[in-house]
Amino acid sequence: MNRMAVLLVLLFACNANAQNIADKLGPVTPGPVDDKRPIQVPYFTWGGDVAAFMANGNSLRTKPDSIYGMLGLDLKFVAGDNVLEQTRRYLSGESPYWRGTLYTANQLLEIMSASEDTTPVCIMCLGWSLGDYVVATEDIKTMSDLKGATVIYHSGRHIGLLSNVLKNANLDWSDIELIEVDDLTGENGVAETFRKAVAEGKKTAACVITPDMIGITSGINEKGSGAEGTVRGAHVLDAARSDANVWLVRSDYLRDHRNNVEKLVAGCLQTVETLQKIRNNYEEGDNSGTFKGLGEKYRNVLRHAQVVFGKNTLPTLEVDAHALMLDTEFVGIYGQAGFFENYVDEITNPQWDYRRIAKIADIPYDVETNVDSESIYSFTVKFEPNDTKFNENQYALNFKRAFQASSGDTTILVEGHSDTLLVLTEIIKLGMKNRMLTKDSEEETYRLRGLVITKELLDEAIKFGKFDGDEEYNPRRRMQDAVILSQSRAEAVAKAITNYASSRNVDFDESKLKVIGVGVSRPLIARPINAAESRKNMRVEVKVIRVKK
Amino acid sequence: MNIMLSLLCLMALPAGEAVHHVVIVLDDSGSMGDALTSDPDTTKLKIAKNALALALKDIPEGSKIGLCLLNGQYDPDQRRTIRWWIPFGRVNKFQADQRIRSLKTNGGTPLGSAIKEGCNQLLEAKKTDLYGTYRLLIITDGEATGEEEVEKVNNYIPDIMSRGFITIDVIGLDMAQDHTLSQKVHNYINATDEMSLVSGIKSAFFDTFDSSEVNFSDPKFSKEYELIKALPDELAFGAIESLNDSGNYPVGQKPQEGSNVGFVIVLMIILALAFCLLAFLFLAIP
Repeated sequence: MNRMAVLLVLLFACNANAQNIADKLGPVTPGPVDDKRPIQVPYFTWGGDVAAFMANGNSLRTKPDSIYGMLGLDLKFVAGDNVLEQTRRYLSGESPYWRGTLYTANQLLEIMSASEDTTPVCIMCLGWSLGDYVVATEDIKTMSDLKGATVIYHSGRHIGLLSNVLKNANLDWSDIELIEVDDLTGENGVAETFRKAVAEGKKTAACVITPDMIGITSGINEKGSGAEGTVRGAHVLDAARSDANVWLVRSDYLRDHRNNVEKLVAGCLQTVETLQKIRNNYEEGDNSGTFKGLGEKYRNVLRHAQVVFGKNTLPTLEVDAHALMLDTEFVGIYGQAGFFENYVDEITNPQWDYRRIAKIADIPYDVETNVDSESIYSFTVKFEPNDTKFNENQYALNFKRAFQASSGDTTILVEGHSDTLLVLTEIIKLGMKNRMLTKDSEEETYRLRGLVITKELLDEAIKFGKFDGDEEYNPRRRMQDAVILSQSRAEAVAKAITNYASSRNVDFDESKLKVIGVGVSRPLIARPINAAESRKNMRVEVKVIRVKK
Repeated sequence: MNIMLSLLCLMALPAGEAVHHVVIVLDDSGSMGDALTSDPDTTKLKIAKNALALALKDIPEGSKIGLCLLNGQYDPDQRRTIRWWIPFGRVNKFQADQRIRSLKTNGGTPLGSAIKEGCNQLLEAKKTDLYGTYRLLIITDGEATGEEEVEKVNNYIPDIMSRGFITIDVIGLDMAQDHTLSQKVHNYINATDEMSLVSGIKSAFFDTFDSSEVNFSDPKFSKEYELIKALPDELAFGAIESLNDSGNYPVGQKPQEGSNVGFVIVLMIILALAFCLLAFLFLAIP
């Protein structure tokens, strides 16, 4: 064992919480980066990494006609779920990149910073994982029940999560019977080992990713029935702390190949935009009852993910592979700067010029006009018509993320909205009753006082009181009802957020909440054409916004 | 469908943007000094003061409130008679309580003028606070006095109602029969004692709203979509914007129509004249 290797172990051992990792890592000799093509990039079994595969041409090795191929990169994505193994490869120079969560990256920072060359630079946040879970048998009802239980985990992926869970439960590693498995998923993975332990009658818990959580319990708020592979009585004990998923790069590689690292980021951000769109189209189409299938593009992406992660992990595209994608909350180009500013303290920031990256990626980037440029985190709560109730449990993880994102100088804007349909129909009905509007049946258009209707003419007529209401039709009254409805929705969400904070003893400054109902003023779809489009307007948007000092 | 929200729910929330804008128009006429039918030991004004003070305690933080008197009273601090006993804005509840307790009776029932003044204040507020609720709460024990005031009430109430965004609540205090406004406003309550008055004032601070979204279980709902099919997106959004930005001109006035149509007609006449002139010159010059 050389001196550097001894030093690494000693340095890491100083961090008591990471003792296990240091022991398991053992001695590693840092070496220069092997920059022969293809360059290795580690990946996780996670939806966010699928964006990078997509940029690579839905392939682990770069296809020449892919986004990365066109940018002149030649990459080979390699499995990185075993973080210790990939840390060894990173330090030895086998790969200049490191892939993991920000939490683990901070834990490993000392060891990765063994030399100036290996000191990591965080280059991108791929997104936030919503789904690392601790599932448990029926006899484990609270975290403290973990004492004496058999706990199965994949050390490479979940050591940070498990150490956090034990800390919150005031337990020590010695309080549990630990079973460490080499494979995250599959036949020898965590879920199968959990099933075997349960079959032996053990009080058992396990750290799993979303597909396995669904496979064991049926869903986040469900209990396994014993049918279709679920474990009878098994439930989610804790929806684990969501974490940022990041790429790090060695300082020496960034120094010598900054352009290529920049292209890796740009290509991924380009596909993030596309992937989010096709994923959301499928999800919303599915939910609104206008299911039209995955679509060719999304199907190809999911099929490749299934090939890479294995059919055992993702048995079906429509349910399991799509669920893995829903597990990912992508951070697009507008969120990257905010991420670095709010979350990356210890690790070096590459100070990217995002205008330049947007140019490489051929995607728009206009921080002056983009409202969301100051938004650190956002999510949408959906409502039924005229309703102010919603399933709070469904959004628990979002609330949690909002609290995490709201540290520092931030405001949580809770903005209620309602649908435009009845306001618009009231305008038409009133206009036709007053004979201000007529319908040209041949051209299927409306005319205002016989003239072809324009925005200016309509604006003038409304402003000069021609559409002020009567007892039968009153568009402004309807609009005011929509304001109150949207305000009530926003207040319901704000109340759920504060309740969530107090029920979990989250230290939360309530004065950060700004609650407003804007009615129909900011619709997602100004003129909905069917129920599915109307539903998109019935919402509350929650945004954690950076406040300028 | 009329939906009522819990005031307690609203109160649990921290102060944010001004959500509630309420102007209370209080009758301070001489008759308010009369004994209450159900309790001759007290006066109508006294129970009105008690009820207002109690209601104020429950008003959500951050609300903008104003108390407008029918006649106005002499304010020793300002050394003049003022109608806005509590100026419209965010109130200090303690100071507001003191002001309410110092009220006295005085004069007739110029209801129309006070409604106009109270409402104009709300319309002015709407210019800067685009969202939130706007309510005019009238507490009175009698009809407007004088033909002029009756005419004003008859003109102003439909005008305010047509704007849509101001809710008018009226509490008739110890009246033998319902106030004539009862059929013309959004909500009417007849209060006969302090308890019913407190309950009436408090209910005016509950937000109520009618359905503003289409009910998908209604078999005819798809017809609503047919109606707006011929409305381009740009016009739909423009109409919403225009509705939101307008309707806040003062009560009793109509905005002057400086119509684009008129402008177009004038322009066309000028162009026609110019064309005739050119044609004349063309023909006249060899």
